[in-house]
Order: sequence, then C-alpha cells, then structure tokens
Amino acid sequence: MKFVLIADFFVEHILGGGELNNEELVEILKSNGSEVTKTQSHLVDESFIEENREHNFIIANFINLSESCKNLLQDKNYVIYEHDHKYLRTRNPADYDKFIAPKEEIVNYQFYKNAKAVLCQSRFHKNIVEKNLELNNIVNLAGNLWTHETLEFLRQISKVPKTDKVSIMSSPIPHKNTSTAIEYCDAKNREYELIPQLPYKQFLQRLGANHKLAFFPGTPETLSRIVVEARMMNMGTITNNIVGATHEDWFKLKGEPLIDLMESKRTEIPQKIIGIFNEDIINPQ
Amino acid sequence: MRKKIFLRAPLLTRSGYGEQSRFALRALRSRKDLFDIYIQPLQWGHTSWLNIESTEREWIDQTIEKTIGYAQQGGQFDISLQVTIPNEWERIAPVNIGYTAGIETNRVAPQWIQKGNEMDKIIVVSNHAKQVYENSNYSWVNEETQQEHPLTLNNPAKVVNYPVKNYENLPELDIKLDYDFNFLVIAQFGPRKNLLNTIKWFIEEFKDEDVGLVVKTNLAKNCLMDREKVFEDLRGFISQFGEHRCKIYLLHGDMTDEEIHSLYVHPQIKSFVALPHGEGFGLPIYEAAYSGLPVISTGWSGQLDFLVDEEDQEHFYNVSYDILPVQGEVVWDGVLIKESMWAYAREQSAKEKMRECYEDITSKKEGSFASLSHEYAQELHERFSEEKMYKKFIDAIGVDEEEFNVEAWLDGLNVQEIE
Repeated sequence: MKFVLIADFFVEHILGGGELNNEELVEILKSNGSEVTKTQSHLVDESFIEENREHNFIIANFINLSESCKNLLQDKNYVIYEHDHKYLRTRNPADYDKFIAPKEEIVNYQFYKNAKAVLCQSRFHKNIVEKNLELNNIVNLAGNLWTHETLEFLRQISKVPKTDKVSIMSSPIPHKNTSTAIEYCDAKNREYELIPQLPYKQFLQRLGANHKLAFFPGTPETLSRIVVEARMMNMGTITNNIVGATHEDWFKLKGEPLIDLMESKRTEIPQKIIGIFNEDIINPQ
Repeated sequence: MRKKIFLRAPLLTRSGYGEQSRFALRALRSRKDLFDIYIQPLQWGHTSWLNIESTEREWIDQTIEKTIGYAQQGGQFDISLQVTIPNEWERIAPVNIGYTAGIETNRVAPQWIQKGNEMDKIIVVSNHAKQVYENSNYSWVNEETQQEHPLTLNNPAKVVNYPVKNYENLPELDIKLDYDFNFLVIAQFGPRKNLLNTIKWFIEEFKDEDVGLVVKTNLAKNCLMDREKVFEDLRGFISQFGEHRCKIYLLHGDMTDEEIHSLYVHPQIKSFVALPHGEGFGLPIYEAAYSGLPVISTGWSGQLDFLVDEEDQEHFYNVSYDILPVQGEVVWDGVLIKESMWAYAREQSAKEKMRECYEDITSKKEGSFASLSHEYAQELHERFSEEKMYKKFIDAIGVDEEEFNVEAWLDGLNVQEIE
C-alpha cells in the first residue's frame, strides 16, 4: 500500500510524543512493505494532493494545512490521526464544561466528518471527540507506538530497584503543571525528584529510578506517553482524572506485562489503520 | 489554597545574611501546609557559596529549578520575602515582606525608610535593629510645593531572633593549643568587628601569661589567597608587640556548622570575646552563649537580645563603650551613612573584663557570669527553641490560616493513585 503521512512537524523537527508515535508508524508500515511519503503540512499544495490522489493519506497534526487542501482531501482516502483536539478553536476541551464546547467553537467539522476514520489514542480521548463532533467514524487505538529498542530499554529499567521518591517531570510547558505536582508532594509530605529535560534515554533512566510519577496536566491528555512509560518501568502513578491512559483497561498492568502489550500494539495499530483503508473495519470501541 | 511565596535571598552564601535566609526558609518549610515556596538565590558581597551536600541543599536546588520553570510559564507569586538590605527591596508581588539584619549603627539611611515604606511588612533580627529603623527620621522637600515633610518609617518592624541549633554528636577538632586557657573570637577581618583592637588589647593584657586567643576570621572568602593575606597582615600586626608568651592562633577556611559548634565546647576554649562596633544580631556571639561559653562583649546593639534575659538581667562581661561617629572608611553610600554612630569599646574596660572573666574561670568563682554560663545556655535553648522561632517568624509574616484549606485543594485535584 502507498501512504502519505502529513504532519506539521516530524521527529527531525521536534521530539514530541505525537512525532515519536508518527515516526514509529512510518517505520512499521515501511517494514511491512508499504511505501510511505512524509510531508510537512505547510509544504502540501493542491497539486501534491492530486499527484497522490490514489494514495492513502494519514493526516496527523495539520495546523499548517491550507483550507483548500483540506477541502481537496475530502473526497480522497484519508484518516485523521488525532494527537489533540484540532476540531476546537482553542484545541483545549478543558476550557468547557464537561469538555463539551459550544457549536460555534467547533472548526474543521467537515474535514473530520469526511475522514474514513478519526484515530484517537484512548477511550477517554475518543469520548471527548465524540461528545463534541457527534460522528460515528471515531476509533480508539487504545495505545501508542514505541520502537522495539525503546520497549527493551524500558524493560531493563522496569527491573531496577526504585527509591521511595516521587518523580516529577520538570516542564516549562504551562499545561504540564509541574508546579501542581510539586505542591501536591509538598502538601502530602512526599519526597520528590524533579526530572529535568534530558536526552530521551537519560530522562527515562532518571524518571524510572523512583517508585512513582506525579503528573497533573492542566488539559486532557489524549493518552500521555510519559504516564504509560512510567507504568512500563514498573512505577505507580499519581495523576488527575484527565489522563487518557488511566481510562484504559490495560492501565492496571505495569512492568513487563504492559511492555508486552505495547509490543503487540506495534502490530495491532498499523493493522487497524490498514484495515480502515481497506474498509474492512471501523470498529469503534 | 497555599500561598505561593517567593524567597529572594542569599540562601547559599556563607554569610550572616545567608544564615538569616536559611532560617527564613526553614521556618517556611515548617509550614508546608501554608506555603508553596519558590527561591531566587542571591549573591552576597564576595562571600563564598555553600558547597555542602545535604537533603536540604538538594531540596533547595530542586526548588530553584521549579522556580525557573514557573517563572518561564509566567507564574505569579502571592507573597515575596526579600532577605537583603532594604535598598534592594522591591514590589514584586501583591504582598511584599522585607527581612533585614538591620543596622549596626544608630541610624539608617533615608533610602531604607523609603524602601521600608514600600513594603507591606518588615521583619528585623533584633530589637536594636527595630529601634534604630523606627527612630531614624529625615525630612524631604516636595519639589512642586516646596513644602517640607517628615520621612519616617510607617511600617512597624517585627523582631524575630534566630533559633538555637542543637547537635548531638559534634566532631572532634584536630587543633593543637599550647595552653589550657584560650579565648575565642569569630569575626570577619573588617573594621566593624574591631578585631585588631581585640588582638592588641588581649596581647597587652596577657603578654607574659599562658593564655591564648583563637581567631577564626577571613577577609571575604575561605580560600587560600584570603588566608595568605590575613596571615601576613596578622603577623605584621603582632610583630609590633615584640616577645610575648601569650599565643594568637589563626583559624581560617571552610568549617561546617558542627565544626564551629565544636569550637565553642572545646575543652581548651574557655571564653568568647567580641568587641564589635555594632551588630545586627551577632550570630557567633549567640552561638557561643547558647553553647555555654562565657561571653565578653561590648554592651551595645543586637547582641543584647540574648545576652540580657527577659528580666533585664545581664549575662555577660559587659565592656563599656563610647558612641561616636563611624570611621570614614566604612561609609557605604545608602547603607552606612557618615552621620551615623556606633560603639567603640573602651580599651581599659575591655582589658578589665577579659581579666575578670579569666580570673572567674581559673578561680572557679561562684555566682560569676562564667560559673553560670551553662545554666544560662539552657535558658537560651528554651527561649529561642527552633519551634518557638519558626512560629514567631510565621506569625510575623502574618498569614490568615483560615484562608488555607489544603484538603479542599487536594479534593479538587481529583487525584488517582495507582500502585
């Protein structure tokens, strides 16, 4: 099969959770014999879409995709791989009561409606998208993709003895709410360690050295890779109730059983996407 | 909800202000239910930075990181607590508290009053600092109306002294002293501490006796260059006295709090001598007193808060003094003004009190300050316990505890803890 993956950025531009996930999807699809073209959304124009009209489009983050391209895509084969909530003007459902935005705040509605599927990261994520768009093409992928190498690295860390401290990610991003996690630990008299921004593996090693992760995001997390990584490293978690991963049945797992499950997602998620394009499944969970 | 308090202080420096900052921090940390603490560490003159690894230091480092992250997010604070000289106080939060060691002279600079009036609250370390701050007055002329107005402090300053420190296992110090009787002086090698007169008068009084004076000092830092300079200066100074049997020992370099406290209880160190022109509080004098060392000191300024008890009874060898203008070389624009005065210990009285203390100790004179110094140390431990001082500091900040409902805040977080 031939795929075109469109995103605002890729891992070579920024190392976000969405970008890491997209990259792994590309690698897995390629390893299965598919042909995949990656293109940044601002570089896409009408002629590009027409040239690739027979291909399967995977639209990840698309803030820089022009309206004309969005319109042109709507009679093509495409799925939206949703990494946040781009159908909302603010992209933040936490701004609204019960995460349901007034209709005037909805944007890109037709683009979502005409997609073969809107791929969500978790049941929690899917529910919010559904409540706002009231569409029936919304699919829960119930997980995320990590490289095999990363999963093996997490497996090693899962076996390392932990300190009694609580890990807190030190992030300058306001909605990651580092200060709330610190306040929580202070209020509960729990010793914590701030984990600074480090190269990925070093970050995981520091994070996984402690027995728990405290994380209180200010906006709903579609899944939260860091929380799943913490579980895979055999850690307990202290979160609020807007972290997508915590709503999944598998969240009770941790350590190797969860790593094995995420290993299986490397087959399951790409197959699900291929199945959607082949129109043999749209099976919202 | 807890108050976000921004502590701007020379927290990591080896200085009196550093010690004051750490006390403020410990007091705040004693009420984690009230305060969410943020830290900006400041430099303090040329003093060294602490290099001790401890859980407190680790916490401070993490909190500094947290503060940087929070500030980058555009975070705001509810209260600022600024531990520094008043010239540097600023309005940076809805409630601003200035916490200063105050002043060692009899008059503060007019800038201190202006800055003090910009603060919501002022905390000082001694009654001397409070009185001088509140009683200094100037006048200013409104340039538009040409009318003269008084310039006085509108905010009453609250006094919070320091807590005593308790150590269970003090380290043994590897110092060799020739004689069994030694005085100890701990002071920076600057004009305010009157160190050269202290040494001179000691040598003149005990010239041909088996008595020593241990001088723990530095110019600014605890480095080798500083030591070399101090050593050479001291050697040059002492050489003028010719042959003498009494000994002067220079102690220089980094010492932990525990090591310093070991000095106070060293079996060959019998008395503490301090003849400064003025003290905001006088931390080394205080530490010596609550460690049970008899103290010989000038009877003026901050040290009277602990050398005199609550019934106004003196517990030290009180050296008489004259109040005279500060020396020209110490004038520091906006801090030590040339119109201010401080105490000059009288030579004869200083020698007499050192001698009296020596005689009391060697003759084991009952009822003397020296014989009662351990008893008084116990009183100081009760009067200035950590618990009492932390509470006093928190009360001085003046938070309304009713405002804080941590449980409600925690409930609102919808915490899910999964093992």
